[in-house]
Amino acid sequence: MSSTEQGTSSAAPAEPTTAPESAAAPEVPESFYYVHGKDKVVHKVSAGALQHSALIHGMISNLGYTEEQAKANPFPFENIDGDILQMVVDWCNQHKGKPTPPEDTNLPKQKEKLFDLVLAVNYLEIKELLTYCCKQVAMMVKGKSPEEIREIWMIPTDAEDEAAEKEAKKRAGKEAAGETAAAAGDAK
Amino acid sequence: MSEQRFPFRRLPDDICLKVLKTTDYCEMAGYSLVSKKAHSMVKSLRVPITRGKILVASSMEIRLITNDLREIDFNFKVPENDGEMTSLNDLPVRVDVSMKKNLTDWRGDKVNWSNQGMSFEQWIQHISSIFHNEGPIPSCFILIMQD
Repeated sequence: MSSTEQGTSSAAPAEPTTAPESAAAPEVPESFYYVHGKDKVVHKVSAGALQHSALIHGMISNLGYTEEQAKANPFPFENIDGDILQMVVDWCNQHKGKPTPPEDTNLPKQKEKLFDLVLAVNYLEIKELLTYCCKQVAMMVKGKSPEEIREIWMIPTDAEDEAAEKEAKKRAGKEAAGETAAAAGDAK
Repeated sequence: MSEQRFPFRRLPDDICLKVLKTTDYCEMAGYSLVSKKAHSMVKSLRVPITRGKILVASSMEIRLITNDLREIDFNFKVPENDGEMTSLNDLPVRVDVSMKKNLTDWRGDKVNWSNQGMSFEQWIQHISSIFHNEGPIPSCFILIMQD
């Protein structure tokens, strides 16, 4: 397990080390929460940064965690890869309490990472970041012909779509038959 | 090209639609041509236009004005030997698609598409199926015949 700060990953969550924002500002202790992805690396994130995620914000509001409880129970996101969660946490930290700019050039350039990032951001309900990601996906086909769009976005042909649909129907039929047989077995 | 590949259709449908809404009208129209599913997805967006014109002379042009005053032109090229379009069942050799960002953008961005195996008539049907008229004129497209 790794340990980094203001990204902020650690196996055993450390005490908050962020500097006070202003000496004149009244001391309002910032609360921190903890999240981990598939790799179990725990990221410490301020409540302010987590405001971006409607899902986590809702979880915090509903659970009413104290800081100790939050430390002991990091929010588990087993469906999100560690490096992707790190990217999301970094973005939330960078944009904490700031108006989001119309463009964001810091998104990953590797297409496979971008795909995972879109899914994670959609799941975590981070609206602004999802908008940036969608723009980035759209930019891939800017000025392209239909043939190039098909190639870049890996669009199946009509025949492939039909074959996939047939396969899905067949699978659904088998599952339904299995459920009926199981129900009949239970009844006996 | 392989580095550029992105599994678009593996995204949830609502995200696919969100991405499509972010693309320009040309790419939206281009995507609608890649498969039947893609076509129905673009149709579901009901992309609004204020005006659509079909200009028919020795060749054909479809001109659309969008609600945000962008102009999209589909300019259908006929085979140079034949000289002109004789029937709507003819196939254009290619389609030059250009988009002007506003009504004073005279240059615009231009891309060349293949004819997608469609006749002039099929092109009219396809384009009118994806763009939804919201202008004051009830008919979706105005057909103008020229000498």
